[in-house]
Parts: sequence; structure tokens; C-alpha cells
Amino acid sequence: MGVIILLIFILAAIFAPLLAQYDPYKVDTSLLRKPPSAKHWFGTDTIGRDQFARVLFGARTSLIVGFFAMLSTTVLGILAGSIAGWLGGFWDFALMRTVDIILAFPYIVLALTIIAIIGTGLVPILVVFTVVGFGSTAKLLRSELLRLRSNDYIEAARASAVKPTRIVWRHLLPNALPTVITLAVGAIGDAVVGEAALSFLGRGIQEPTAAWGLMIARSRGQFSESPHLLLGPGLALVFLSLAVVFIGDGVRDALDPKVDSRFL
Amino acid sequence: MARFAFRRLLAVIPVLLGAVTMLFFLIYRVPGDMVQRISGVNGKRLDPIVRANLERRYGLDKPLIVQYGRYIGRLSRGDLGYSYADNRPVTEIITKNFAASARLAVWAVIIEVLFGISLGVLSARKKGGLLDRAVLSITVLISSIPVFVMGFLLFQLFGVKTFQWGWPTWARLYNGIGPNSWFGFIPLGSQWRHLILPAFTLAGITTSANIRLMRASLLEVAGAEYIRTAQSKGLSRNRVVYRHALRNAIIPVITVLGLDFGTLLGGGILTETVYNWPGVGSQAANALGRLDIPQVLGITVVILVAYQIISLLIDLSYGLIDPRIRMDRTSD
Repeated sequence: MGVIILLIFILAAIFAPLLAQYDPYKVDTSLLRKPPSAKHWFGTDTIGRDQFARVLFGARTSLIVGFFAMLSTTVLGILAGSIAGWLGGFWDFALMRTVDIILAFPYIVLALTIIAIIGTGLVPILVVFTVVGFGSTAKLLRSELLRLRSNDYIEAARASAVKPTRIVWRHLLPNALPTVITLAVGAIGDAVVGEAALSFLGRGIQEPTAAWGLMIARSRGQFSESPHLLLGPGLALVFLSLAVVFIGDGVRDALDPKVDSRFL
Repeated sequence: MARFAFRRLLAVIPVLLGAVTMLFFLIYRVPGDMVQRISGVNGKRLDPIVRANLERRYGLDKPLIVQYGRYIGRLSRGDLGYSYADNRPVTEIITKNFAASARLAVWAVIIEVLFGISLGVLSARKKGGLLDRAVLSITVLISSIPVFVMGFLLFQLFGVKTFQWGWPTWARLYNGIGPNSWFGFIPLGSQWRHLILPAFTLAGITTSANIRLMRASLLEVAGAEYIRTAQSKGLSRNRVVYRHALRNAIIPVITVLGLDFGTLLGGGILTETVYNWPGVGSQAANALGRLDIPQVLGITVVILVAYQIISLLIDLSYGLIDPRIRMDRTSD
């Protein structure tokens, strides 16, 4: 179910230029805030741009943010987690205290501060989610590694002089994979909703780029006359995060036989 | 118990210090002329004398590391400095806003407790039934609606449409803080009309998570042997559920509830923005927008400390609910 919805979004994002009959950036002053019609399925926005095209292109923004944030938090999380969990000592202390400090922040404050320094737009947003998000992966991976490294097969590998990087990569990581994957799926959802939230606050993606959070923010104050301004991007956002929740549940059930999905 | 509490509080200090240090040096990296910004003069060049005065007043003429030392020194005495933009002590501004945030957070947690526990238990007891399935689908749906969409929709429905459709007065709700009349945490007069929408919006996502957690936790406990023992003693089903199962199942829920309270206190930025609720969340967003550094640092410190105190209280509360977990014994 989740996969199907996500697939629809991915296809919509890839083929956005083909699916949209209109240019999402083309301003048409003769078509201000028109309600949905056969020509403009989701209507037009406050400066006459086609809402449907903008929702489609907004899917690109959201999915790019979601995918790359997932990638970077996971990679950085795995790196930091395995360094802390395997080397221990100073590195463990330094990395884990850093993560503690980052996680202690109310995340929007940290996000808005970083954005104030490096500017708004797509790349700063990815930096923000990487900094804010890698900590939980690193922390969980570290505790998994600490649990796993006392196993006999790891002792055996160490005794037979297998290189530490190989032990981590070949023996430890595959065993810690369920945790990492579950968190990675969650990271997509966090980033998609987080980007929308930042854009909503005006500190994320900027006009004229199509982004759902931004479109939702623009629809405020117009709702009584033009509810369609909220409907398109709002529904898109809800469906995408629903898809991620479903996939997350599915992945967890599949990877962790202890948790019976019927109980959740 | 007291020793445990004291040690826990000591452990907070390094994290707090680290966070303040990180934010301090990060935020002074924000590009732009700080003094110009404080002066509020845009575009024009600042008179050198005015500039020198401002720099001296806020200590900006000293090297950053000295400023940092001074800040930490003041912080240790509970002084959060002077706001750049509002020309008032930061503590004064935060005290006012913190009350608004705390009230909102308390009511959100009350909603969470009421709905989270009751619906969770109900859902678990009727597992697989129509009600259970309805509760599960609705919670998934609610947790997928971003706070700012939810807030917006609820406000349109109860705050705007009710007026347009001429509904009775009692059904009309507002945004903003309203008359701001309270008796402690209890809203007085028509204050509740302003409270109810932000409180439900703030509570929505966490309540959904809580319902699911309560349900899962109760079902997990239901398989335990002491439950079978209790049943075979011939106790009524209600007594087994409420006296035996719930007491054990509720512990993870309480952990999450407490953490939620901390998150809600500081994480209300979106809800507070949508509803114009004058709490620390909207203050933080505002201060960040104006780069009022003392305010941003101050809010962060207050939120961090509040969060740590709450998680300490939760740890201590375990002992009350479950005598097997007594902190002073396990930690010594």
C-alpha cells in the first residue's frame, strides 16, 4: 500500500513535465485564484499559476529532500555510529556527547539557526536535516554494535586477524541493518514534513520554486474564498507521509519478527 | 532518591554547557553587521559614536571568546542578558511567554492522557473489532497530517466557518491568546475558546502515537503469567485489566508522555505560529528572524533545562507506579 502510493509520487515527480499541461512557473494574470476546472484540475494560485503543475513539481522538491536527507543521515549516522561503537574511548565520548548536545536542542531552533548562517534553499535544508538527523542513527547503531561485538563470531573474527573495517562492514553492519533501515525510512518522512514546515515558516524552499509547505503557507488567509489553494499541496503532503508511515511499519514488521504487527 | 536526583541534575550541566557553547559560536557566525542590526537603522551608515556606544553597551567590542566567558558567567547567576531587539532583560520576556507555552503544553498533555490511555485501553480490549480498527486507522491518518495543515484546517472549520454559518456562540472558537485570564493552569471565562484549538492541534500527533503505544503495551502484558494467575483466581475482567495489566503496561506510556511534555513545551513553534499563541515557540521563531541572539540563547537554555527537569521527574515517578523500580537502590 505504502509502496504503491510512494511509487505514484515518484512517477509523478519524474514525469512532472509530461503530466502537467502548464508551466508551473508561468504567471497568468487573467487567471487569479480560479477554482478547479477541467483545464486547471487544482485551480490556479494567487498569481495565476497552475496549481496541479505546481503540486507535481512540488513532489520533485519533497522527494529530492526526502531521498537525499535519508541518504546523508544514514551514511553519516553509520560512519559516526561505527566509529563510536568500534573504536570506543575518546572517539566514542566525543561523538556521543556531540550527538547528545544536538539531540537536546529543540530541533527547529537549531534548524533555523543553521539556515540563518548558510542561507535558504535546497542544499541548506539538506545540511540541516543531516546535522539534526544523523544523531539518532549513530546512537542506535552504536548500541547495536556494542551489543553485537561481544558475540563469539566477532571474537573469532578478531582472533583470526580480520581487519577492523572488514569486521564492522561484513559482520557487524549486516546484523544491525534492520535498525538502520527502519530509521532510514523514518528519516524520509521527517525530512519531507520538516522541509514543508521550514518552507511554511518561510525559511525553507523559496519562491518561485514549487514546494508544498510554501504553497500551504501562501494559501493562508485565502481559505474562505479559495480552499483549493490548500487542498492540492495539503493532500499531497498527507498522502506522502502516510505512504512513508505504511512503509516504515511494513519494514519493521518484516525485519523484526518479534513485533507482531497485529498488536500494533 | 534525593541523591539520585542530585546526580541526575549534575549530569545535565555538561550537555547544557555544550549546547550553549555550540549555539553561541554558531549564531555569531550569522552573516551581517550585528551592531547595525541592533541599531535598527537600515541602509544608512551608522554614526561611529553611536556604533561605539552600542558596542560597549552590549559588550560587542570585546573579542568573541571574552563575550562567551561573560555570557557563561552571567548564565551561572541566572542572568540571560539583555535583548537586542526589545531592550528588556531576556528573563522578563521569557517568563511571560513561558507561562503561555506551559499552559498550552499542560493542556495538550491532559488531552494526551485522557484520549491516549482511554482509547488505547479500549482499543486493546476490543482487539480486532470495528472500534479497534477505526481507532487504528484514524491515528495513522492524524499522525500523517502535518501540524500546520491540521492547525489551519481546524481553525478554518471551528474558527471561521462557525461564524459564517451562524452557529451558536458556544461552538465558536478563536485563535490567539484572547483575554489571557487564567487561574494557574485553568482557563477562566471565555479563555478556553482560545485554548482548545491549539491544545488539540499540539496534542494530535503525540496522542495518536500514545494510543498505539498504550494498546500495544497492554496487549503485550496480557500474555504474561501473572495475568493468567489473576484470571484464574476468579477476578473480574475489569479488575484484571485495570489493577494488574494496566499498571504494568502504562510504564512505557508514561515515559513517552513525559518526553512529549518536554517536546511540546519547546516544539510548539509551528502550532504557536499557526494560532498566534504568544509562547516561547513563536518567540523563538521571532527572535531568530530578527537575530536577537540573547533571546535565542535564553529560550534555548530555558527549554533545555525544562526538558531535563521533566525527564528527571519521570524517572522519579517510576518508583511510585512500580515499586520494583526504585532509583536510589538500583543506582547505588
